[in-house]
Amino acid sequence: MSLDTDTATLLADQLDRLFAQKVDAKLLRKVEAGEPAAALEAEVEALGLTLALVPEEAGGAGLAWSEIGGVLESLGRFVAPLALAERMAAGWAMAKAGMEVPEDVPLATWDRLTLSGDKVSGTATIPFGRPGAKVLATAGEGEAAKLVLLEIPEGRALPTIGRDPRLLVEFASAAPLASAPDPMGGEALPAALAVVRAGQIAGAINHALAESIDYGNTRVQFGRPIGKFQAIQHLVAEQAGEAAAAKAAVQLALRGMDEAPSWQAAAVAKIRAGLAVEPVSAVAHAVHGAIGVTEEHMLHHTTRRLWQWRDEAGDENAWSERLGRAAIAGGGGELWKTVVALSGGR
Amino acid sequence: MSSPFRFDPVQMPDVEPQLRAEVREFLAEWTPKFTPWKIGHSWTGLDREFSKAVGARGWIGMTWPREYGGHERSALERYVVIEEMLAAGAPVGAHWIADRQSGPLILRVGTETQKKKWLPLICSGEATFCIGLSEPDSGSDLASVRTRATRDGDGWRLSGRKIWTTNAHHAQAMIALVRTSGGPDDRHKGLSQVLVDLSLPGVEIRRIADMTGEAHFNEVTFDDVQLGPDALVGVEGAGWAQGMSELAFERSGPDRFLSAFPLMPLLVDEIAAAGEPDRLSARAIGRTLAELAALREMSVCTAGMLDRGEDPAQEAAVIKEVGVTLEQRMPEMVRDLAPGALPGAVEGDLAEMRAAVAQQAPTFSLRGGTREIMRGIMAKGMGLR
Repeated sequence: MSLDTDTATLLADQLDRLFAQKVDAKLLRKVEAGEPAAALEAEVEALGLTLALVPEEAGGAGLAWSEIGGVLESLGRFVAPLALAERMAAGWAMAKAGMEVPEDVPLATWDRLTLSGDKVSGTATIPFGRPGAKVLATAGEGEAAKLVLLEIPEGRALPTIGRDPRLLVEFASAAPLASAPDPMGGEALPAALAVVRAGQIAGAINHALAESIDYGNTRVQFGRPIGKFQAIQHLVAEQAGEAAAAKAAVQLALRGMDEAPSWQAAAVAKIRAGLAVEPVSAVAHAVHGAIGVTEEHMLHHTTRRLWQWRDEAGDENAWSERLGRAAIAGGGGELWKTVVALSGGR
Repeated sequence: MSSPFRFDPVQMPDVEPQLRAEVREFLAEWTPKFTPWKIGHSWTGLDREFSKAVGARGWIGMTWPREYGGHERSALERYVVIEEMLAAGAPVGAHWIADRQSGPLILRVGTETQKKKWLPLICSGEATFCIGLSEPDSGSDLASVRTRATRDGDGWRLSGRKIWTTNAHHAQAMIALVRTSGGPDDRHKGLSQVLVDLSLPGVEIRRIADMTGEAHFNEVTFDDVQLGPDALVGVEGAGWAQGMSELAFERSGPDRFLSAFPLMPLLVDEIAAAGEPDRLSARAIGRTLAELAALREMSVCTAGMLDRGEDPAQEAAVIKEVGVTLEQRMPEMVRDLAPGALPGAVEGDLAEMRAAVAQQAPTFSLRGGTREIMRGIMAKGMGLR
């Protein structure tokens, strides 16, 4: 399976067209002010994409991870203000755990809750969360870890740099509506969420790159497009290198999730995409000059979400530390084998 | 536009784990013989006996036809072998350049005589090639080369000078980019590639000492060297295009991000020996692993493109840009993270290897086209300009 299979292209094209029509500054401002993009959500819902990663026998579309790269990229490119990525991840994790996946796929949180008997407790950040809706979470650690489906209680809107809605809630001995042992010992949902976030980041990064190229070719100073200056060309080339590495890491993780899902596959994608965020957004803003930081310009919708997304589902520092500790414990003699395994080699 | 670069996933052959194990077993016998200083030289380090042993295992010219000494294996199998060699820091310099680009070039556009004479010698590890590109007045501006091959009877007469030629003093042959017609103003037109037997009269090789205290570079002077009719490689006047497509092989391989890798296992062991790793050290190691994994994915995908006969010039430039930046950071990372090193001292395996790598690291972003040239190629490919 590759990103170029027909299904993948078709799906991504469909989403691209929809988002190009519907996701504009006006809608993004509305969502940032706290009003959900209900009409857009309904249209996406109608495409059946929330069930993309759920096997056909469980009522889903039965797509592979490597087929949804284009969808994630589209979500990132247009900074689409809805929880499709999270719900695709939740659907996949529930199906993998053998849970029944409702047609109205739940939201998801990367935060880990504690498990005491059948009851769960703890704080969770829920993207696009609203009280009364349902959320999938991970509770407990290791072998005892469970995926739990919970009703979202009242919470408070968490102010974030991305300004997309994030609901912060507290579960206190909450009784799950459904639960099942986590098929990856507590890693399934966090890994899936890290991969989809990395995919969105790669999409947004490539958009920032495309915008920088476009602006470089149109903005005229000193009598010529600024893209003719080597100084600008080299900045954009640096940006392109980071964008390519982020995309490659995501592609690797998508394949990894199909072949042998693991937190390590997710870590590589989230780390590499997260590392690319700062250089790419810095260059995008450098190239765009002052107009790029105005409220009116679209660039900040991309860069602010990049800064938001890199922090979510485990930032590159947290994943790096975990990957690094495991590698150091394994010893130098195993290090190259780890590189090979992390990049899909045998 | 989703991305200006294509990295199409490839399927590694089923033989991958077995082949990898064979190479590792082979390397386990050899690597104890090499000093950390030598290992720190990666693919510019040279050991003829080692290259002959590699050749005897069938790991040089792996993809070439059997009739020329090759082994008709896939480009991806070759990839497995070369990345294992690099990860171990094996001194592959005696066969590296010929296996990577000179041999494939001869195979693609060379004459039957050239193939029969040189390819089997490359495969056995006996023939070392060097690349004649830079000249005293032509560095990044390669189209300005002035070394000239003039028709002389049915052969050629070669005059001029090449510089920064790695390992020319160990090489049997050079493939040089030279002018066969026109002048410097004709730029890419009138350039050809010629194969020069370095034992011919009129060839003078002068070693150039470098900052490591050794001499890997050379200046090679051609004083009316008489070349046979068979010296031309490929088509007369097509030297620029031939040379550029050769560079995709040179710029996209694992040699663009693994030259400094042998430092990493030693660093990890040093960190582990100091007790529970601190947060920042663990992060730095984890981050580097993720960067290496992404680079390896890009590089393997590009090997697949090369295998299918596509021209990944843009992708190769990206890999080199991102890869050498990581390589160059590695000796600095050792300095940042290795506990207990004596200030400035070159004592102990890690310090010795770091010293070797650190003193070569400036060349990582020079060789094979400078970072600035790479960025120009990328910018042009993306439509800036």
